[in-house]
Amino acid sequence: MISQLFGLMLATLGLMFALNAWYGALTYGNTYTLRSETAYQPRSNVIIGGIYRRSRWESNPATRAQFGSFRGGSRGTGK
Amino acid sequence: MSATSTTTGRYIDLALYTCVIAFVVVVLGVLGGGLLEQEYLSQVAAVRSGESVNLAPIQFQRLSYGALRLEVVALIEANRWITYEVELRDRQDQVLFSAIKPGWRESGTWREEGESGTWDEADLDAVLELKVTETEPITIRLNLLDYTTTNGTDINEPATLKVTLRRGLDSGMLWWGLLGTGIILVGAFWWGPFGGDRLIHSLSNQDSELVLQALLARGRPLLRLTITLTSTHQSQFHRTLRVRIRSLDGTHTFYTNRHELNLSSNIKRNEDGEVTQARAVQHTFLISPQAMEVALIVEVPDLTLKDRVSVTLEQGVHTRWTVPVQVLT
Repeated sequence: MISQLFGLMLATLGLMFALNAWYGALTYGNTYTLRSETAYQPRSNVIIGGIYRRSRWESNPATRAQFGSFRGGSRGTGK
Repeated sequence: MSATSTTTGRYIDLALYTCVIAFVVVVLGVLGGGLLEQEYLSQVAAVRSGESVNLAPIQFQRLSYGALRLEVVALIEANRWITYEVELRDRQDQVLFSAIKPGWRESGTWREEGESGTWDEADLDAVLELKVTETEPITIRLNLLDYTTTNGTDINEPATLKVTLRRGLDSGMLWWGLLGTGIILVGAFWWGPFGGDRLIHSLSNQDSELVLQALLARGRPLLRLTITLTSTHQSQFHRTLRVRIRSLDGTHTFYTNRHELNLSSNIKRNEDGEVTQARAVQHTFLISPQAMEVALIVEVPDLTLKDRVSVTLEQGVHTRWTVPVQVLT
């Protein structure tokens, strides 16, 4: 019985991994949206993907905008 | 009366194959994800130090799936440093995003232990993945902030930046999924098939005939009879095994069979060449059509003093694939 439950658990886990992988791949769940109609919050409006390598972009010293946050105008303040 | 031989796939473990399906689904994504990729832009721009170049506005689309992947790579000669900025601007020329990438490419020669060669290393590309909530034209602006040789001398010629914009899946998620489902699949095949309650487990190293009792349940559960013979005998590697299943009162015999066990195919020896263990395993799958109490008789007529017999009967087991089975009648 325990063995059967363990098998069921593995099967469920396998399916969840597969579904999560496909869902994440299709929706880019780890990627923030560039623009939103809601208030601009630095981490929720922007961009950066899950496999995105942060070291590849550096913060913009001209605006002190952090990586991934907006710069300029009313679109966002950045930090 | 005796058992009827047949093969069955009815007891194949669905948990195992669910894990296989999960793995295959992710493999298909990894292999076929590229088919869902779409390139919107591939353009090369020459930018002078301190100047900017606007690419023609591109319609950034709100996507039903996936995201946009903006890749910028500097195509420069060796031993040069470059710092470029990428901006995304909307139709009102408001900056949506900007980021700076310091890049470099260096090369040289190496000598070591009489050998020599050249090396060429670079870090020139930047990647941005993004989604937009509404379709709108967005301008990509490239600013060249700094372009020098490795010793800091300004270069007064344009640098080439290659910009690519494409739509695709988040393949990273699929690779993680592949890893996860792969580990689960290996675990499922390692520990599976799952299920089974032990009815009998007996060890003997003295009796050449073992008589054991078991109560078989109704509902045609699959039974697995496992008989393992291990021996440290140095020369005898062959045994005869007789198995019978009969009613407790001895009036009905449901199953009888004889197996020749060959221990020579699984022998462990020590450094002196002595046999430390020889082993043979006999698996038999059985189905009992009805609930009944039976006697299981296991005989090894040529049992030696150095043998040990293990008998295990499990009920409600599953199989990896189709197996031959004896239906007790």
